[in-house]
Amino acid sequence: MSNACISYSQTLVQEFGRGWNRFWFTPSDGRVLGMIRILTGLSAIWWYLSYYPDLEGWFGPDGLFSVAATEQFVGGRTYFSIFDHANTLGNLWATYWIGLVFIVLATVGFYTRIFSVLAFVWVVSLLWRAPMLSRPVDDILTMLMFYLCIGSAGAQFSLDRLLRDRKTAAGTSPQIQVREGGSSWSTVALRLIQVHTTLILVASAIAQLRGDTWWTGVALWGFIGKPESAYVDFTWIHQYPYLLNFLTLGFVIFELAFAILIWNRLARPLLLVLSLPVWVGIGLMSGMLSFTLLIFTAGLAFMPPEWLLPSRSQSVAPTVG
Amino acid sequence: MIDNDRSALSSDARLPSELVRTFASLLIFIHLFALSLVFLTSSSGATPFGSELVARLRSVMAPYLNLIWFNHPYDYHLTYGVPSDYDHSLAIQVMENGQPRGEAILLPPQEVGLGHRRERYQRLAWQIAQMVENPAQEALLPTMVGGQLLKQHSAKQLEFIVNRTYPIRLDLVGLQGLNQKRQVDKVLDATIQYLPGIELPQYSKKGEARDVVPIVKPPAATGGANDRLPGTNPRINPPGAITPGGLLDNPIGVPGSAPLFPASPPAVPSNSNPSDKKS
Repeated sequence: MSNACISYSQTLVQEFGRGWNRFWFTPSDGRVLGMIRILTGLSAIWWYLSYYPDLEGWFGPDGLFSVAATEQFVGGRTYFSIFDHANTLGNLWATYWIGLVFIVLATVGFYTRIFSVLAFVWVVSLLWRAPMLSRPVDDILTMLMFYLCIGSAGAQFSLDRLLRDRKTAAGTSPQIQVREGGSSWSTVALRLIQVHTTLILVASAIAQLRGDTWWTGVALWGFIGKPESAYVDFTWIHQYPYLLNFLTLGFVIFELAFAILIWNRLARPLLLVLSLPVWVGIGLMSGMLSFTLLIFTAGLAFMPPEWLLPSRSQSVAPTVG
Repeated sequence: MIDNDRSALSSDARLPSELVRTFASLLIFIHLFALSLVFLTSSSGATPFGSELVARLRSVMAPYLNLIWFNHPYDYHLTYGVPSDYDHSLAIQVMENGQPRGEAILLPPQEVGLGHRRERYQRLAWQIAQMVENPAQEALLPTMVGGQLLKQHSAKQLEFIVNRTYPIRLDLVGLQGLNQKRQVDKVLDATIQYLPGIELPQYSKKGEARDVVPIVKPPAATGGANDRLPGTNPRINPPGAITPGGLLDNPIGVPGSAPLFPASPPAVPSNSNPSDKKS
């Protein structure tokens, strides 16, 4: 009996270890992560540039949000912001433009690891400079940027890759092909995005179901009824109450279904295809397009890499989905 | 979820070394543990597993989570159709000798279209609205913003108003159509002014017995006390409760009490125009 127990325990531990390693560390090529890097980077550039018109008015020496006042608002939390140290207009603008350069370089994939980290630090710094302005889109942006720092986000669709291919073609770096089998760090980054996104969708669906209007199927009117805040006016939907009910309930069901069924290989393509109209639709309806596009981008971590064109000299690498 | 590589893994030949995997696994575990605490202690109580223990554990992980901007509950309810979900805006009027000086400053500015800028201004107005019912916090943002505006305009006094614009009422569309007048509430109507002998701008909310809240100097930072995130424990702070910690945590408003879609239309439709005042 005791031998059986010991044997079972050993098997359990070994299998768990194998499963853990397989889940987190199976090397994967960087196509999906490269695509997420580009989409996230473009969103980050849009996001970052949107501070431009208000930068002086908010964070300048006589701006609305002094460092001392922000510290008071934050209330002793641990945080770090490079922008707290930009105490003159010159420093502020220099810090701002340096950050933009970092984000652009991370987006195009030039020394990707280094510039991804720097871009992340700058984005979080800007957020902590005035956290009273933060919105959900900021949470998703930082989530994606943080995980892009972990993975080999510049392995594909990047300047790094282009330069590496040229070196290889020129014969100056013949051994580089050895590294093309994929990276475990890409897998770790993708897995973390997958897990985090799943948790977000579950938490959001639960939060929605705590409100009566989501149960009664009219919650989306909360967005639609503010046409001045929407990209597309959906107020015509009041003529079709069942359609409003369907869209409202359908959205919650989609969120839950995505979080659970995306882990099923058969359901995955369907959910990924569905996610585009769902998130774009909610974004157009609510005016929160930047938020919904980033959630959509996070969901792309589940995309099979076969859906993406292989880059030049692409070698066969395991796929993580 | 690994599609095609089970056999290739049998030798572990393509995996990082065991030492690297062990170290990475430890970091992944710590990160996921911290993340799970965030999800278990959402400020809106969306995940009903929060406990004092979980809240304390989260406070331990708070420095790490704060540094990477992960200390947010991520439970986006999007909209409950309650007042806290409506659009908020600021209207600030610089005063001179008790009379308005120039045009009111509207935030978001009218020329700002949809997108990040507009959302940030609306978020600022929303944050102020959430703090109105909290005597310890309500003056913080108005004096911060109003004080700086007074400096910029070399003025001594301004009126600081937070407006909340209601959406088109679905239950009235049948009666009044989509062009029904939209209700606008004044969530906050306050005065920010410099008083003789006091260095910092003073905040006074209209319609209150206490006209001036004397703020001689800013309250001292709490030195990490808020890392406990009091707003994140739904048992201590039920949905709708506003706390300093919760202000940063709650992503898209908190549940309020007044429904957008009442079961039956009110006897007197709310047709007040934007200039209507409702204290």
